[in-house]
Amino acid sequence: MTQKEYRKAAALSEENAQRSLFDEYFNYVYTIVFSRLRSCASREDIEECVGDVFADVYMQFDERKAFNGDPTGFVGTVARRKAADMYKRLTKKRQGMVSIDDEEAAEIEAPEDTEDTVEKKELRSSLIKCVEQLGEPDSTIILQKFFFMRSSAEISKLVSMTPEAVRVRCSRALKKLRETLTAMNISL
Amino acid sequence: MNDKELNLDALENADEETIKIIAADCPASDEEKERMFAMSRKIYKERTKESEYKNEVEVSGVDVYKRPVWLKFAAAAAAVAIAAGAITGGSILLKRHRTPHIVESSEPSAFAMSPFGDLSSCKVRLSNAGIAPAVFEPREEKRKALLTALNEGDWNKISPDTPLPDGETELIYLKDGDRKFLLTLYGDHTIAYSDSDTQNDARYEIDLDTENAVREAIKYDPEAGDKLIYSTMYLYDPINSVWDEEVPEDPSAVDVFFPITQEHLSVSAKNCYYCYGKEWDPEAAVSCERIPGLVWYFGETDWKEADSQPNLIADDNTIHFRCTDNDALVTYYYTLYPSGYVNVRSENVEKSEKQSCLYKLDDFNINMIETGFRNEIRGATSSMTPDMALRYDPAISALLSRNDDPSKLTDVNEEDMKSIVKAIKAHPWESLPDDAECGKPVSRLTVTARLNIYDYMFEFYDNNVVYEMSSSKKYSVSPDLIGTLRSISDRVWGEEAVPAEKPTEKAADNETTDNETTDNGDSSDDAEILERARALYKDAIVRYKEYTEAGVPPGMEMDWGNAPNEWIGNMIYYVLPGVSSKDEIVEMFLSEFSERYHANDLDGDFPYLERDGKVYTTSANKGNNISYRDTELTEIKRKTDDEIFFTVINYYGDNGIDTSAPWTEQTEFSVVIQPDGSWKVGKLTIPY
Repeated sequence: MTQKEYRKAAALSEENAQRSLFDEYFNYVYTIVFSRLRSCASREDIEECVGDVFADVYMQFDERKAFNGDPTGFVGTVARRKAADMYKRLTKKRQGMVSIDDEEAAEIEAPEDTEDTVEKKELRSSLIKCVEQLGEPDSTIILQKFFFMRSSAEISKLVSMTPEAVRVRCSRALKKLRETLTAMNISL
Repeated sequence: MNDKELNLDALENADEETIKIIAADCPASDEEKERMFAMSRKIYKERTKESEYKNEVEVSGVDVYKRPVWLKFAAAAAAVAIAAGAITGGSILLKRHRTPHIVESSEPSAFAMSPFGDLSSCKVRLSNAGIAPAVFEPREEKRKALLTALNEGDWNKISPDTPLPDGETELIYLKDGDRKFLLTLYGDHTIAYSDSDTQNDARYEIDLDTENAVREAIKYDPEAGDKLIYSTMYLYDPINSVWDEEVPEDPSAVDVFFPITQEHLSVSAKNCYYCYGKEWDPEAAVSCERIPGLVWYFGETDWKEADSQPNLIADDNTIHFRCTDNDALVTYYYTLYPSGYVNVRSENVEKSEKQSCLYKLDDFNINMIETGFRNEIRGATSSMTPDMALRYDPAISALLSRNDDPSKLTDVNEEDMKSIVKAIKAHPWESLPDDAECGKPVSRLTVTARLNIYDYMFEFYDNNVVYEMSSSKKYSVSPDLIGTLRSISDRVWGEEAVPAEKPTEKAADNETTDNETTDNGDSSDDAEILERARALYKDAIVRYKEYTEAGVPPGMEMDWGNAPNEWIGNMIYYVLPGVSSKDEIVEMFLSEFSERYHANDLDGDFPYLERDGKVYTTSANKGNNISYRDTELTEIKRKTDDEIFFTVINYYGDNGIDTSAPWTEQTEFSVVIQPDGSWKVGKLTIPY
């Protein structure tokens, strides 16, 4: 949805325009925010941050001096920045004030360092491929369980299975995934 | 890790490609999504002051807030005390006069100075359009003056659903113990009160003296002791979260990541400078003090050392950034080339040490920095007056009208453009309210800046008022500026040998202008040249947009729906079939468009980029000028040995969409004559 399309829709109904934009970019934004905050934030924090991202995007789309064209990159940038801000706030609150000379400082700063080495990227890529190779619904179950940290009951609704069946499949898929990772010499 | 666990932390903070894959499995339920959507709307509404309760509030007329009578006695007593020379006693009385010391009361608010109680002991943080979203804590003297004005002002309560005016607002965050609230000053002399517990903001009219005092206090002046705070406050709860950040020891310090040593440098934002261009230009370089967010992107970048040493040539889009440490001993230099190479170095004058390293950033990272810079600068300049904005976002072209005839504009050469911009910068522009009187329009000026999407379109009036049409803002300017522009206009238009006349009917005019004389004299050859140029010009506009915006060179087919696509950087790119290298497209492009003007038009990664033996494209229509009506190539302007220049008149306004008074803009079009006699498109300005 370009800014032009948004404005056209907003002229008829602001809420509908915002909903269209939200629906189009929700998965993308949620995943960026979750990916950044999963280690330190509650689900409520993540939801607030997602809401914050979209509110900012609506406002930017309202602005006269925004931009034309595909806004995906812009939306992603807002999401990354908001998530980074919240990460800083949450970790700062949790850790309190730490001197930069403190040995702990390096650890606290580490997640902020976005230096994404080739190794990390390769690991991510291999990991994702291994998960995808499990096929459906196992790959979804594994990601939901161990990345998005959803309960079996929640996952059961997504994959139309009983919670018990989810647990069984998850257990088998995890075993299979471990074997594949071990064969590839990947340890997590 | 036990057998039932799997650590997927490696997927945290993932790159774009991984995000795309994981996003397909986004688990949020409809209920969660709805909650987040509602949250986004709530935050948005709070931020924009849109009240969803406005229909529920009944208009109850004007409720005049009664200023406590005792205040007048206290003020009078203070005045008497001072007049009597009792300076000490008077000062004490003045200091204490805000304290409800008269008697104990069961209604403490009865002694309040403002409708919200005695504000004199409040902590204050302020924000205005110039520094938002940052806030600042005013120096003590200013804090006291502000609170005194608020306490002593006349507040008349008005209906909360009184329409909010357009324009900027000033924000006054107040904290008294645990109590936190916000006063928002609007351009219609009203202030709204809001806190976290009250749904409906109360709104008050204030007297002019109070308003002036507030506006004076809310001007950010770092040199006078105001302390800037880059707050990370949440939009949905700014009233409370604005207080989360402590006042930094050095309020102007920013965190600049220096990749060579992997250090985060704490330097003053005023010691950070940037400019765009082929080389560092000290005159064009501006401080990051008002755009401190620029440096954020260095810390988020994935810095990778280049494995080769290419011959780097800077162009107009090259970014130069410099900062100096607070002791002025070490200077850090960053040169960011659009190709993704970044030359980083430092010089320590005390130790005579130098460090340098060349980095090659991938598409995502260089796009992040370039887009980030662009957005930060656009954001900052959107709230600046034009004289300031053009320092941060330099002009690249301008059109100026005839004096006393704002309906005709012509493009000006680089030298005149510089003179115009210099004059704009040399004279302060003062913002005026939306309802400021405009006199008779006398001239117009359009300035295109490097980064701003919208041109500055100034209309000057005979009462020294300027209306900037893109932003609908009004300014008061010095008569000296108008005088300078008039003399430039005289010179520019004086150079036009044959002033362009507006045709009455385009179709009829096309026929008649074929027979018009040119400055080279009437000739059938020239008539043929003109006709040929008209056809080329019309075609060139369409083809240029196809090459540079649509992302599909003329004659090529693209099935966007089914083309293989990939996230590259922060955009989706599609494989362009039938092309094996970007050079092929550039070659096609330059076979029609002369290298003299267009050699670098397809540089960078937009809309084409080459990767792994494939050419990718992306499309983003830049949009059209809604005021555009028509274009006409009217005459041969001049000729050189290998180039012919033509006058182009573009017609705007009164086209059914834009109903403003019509105007014309005069630009140049040229053809570059090839050795074989064929033509290539030379100078070309897209009119819409």
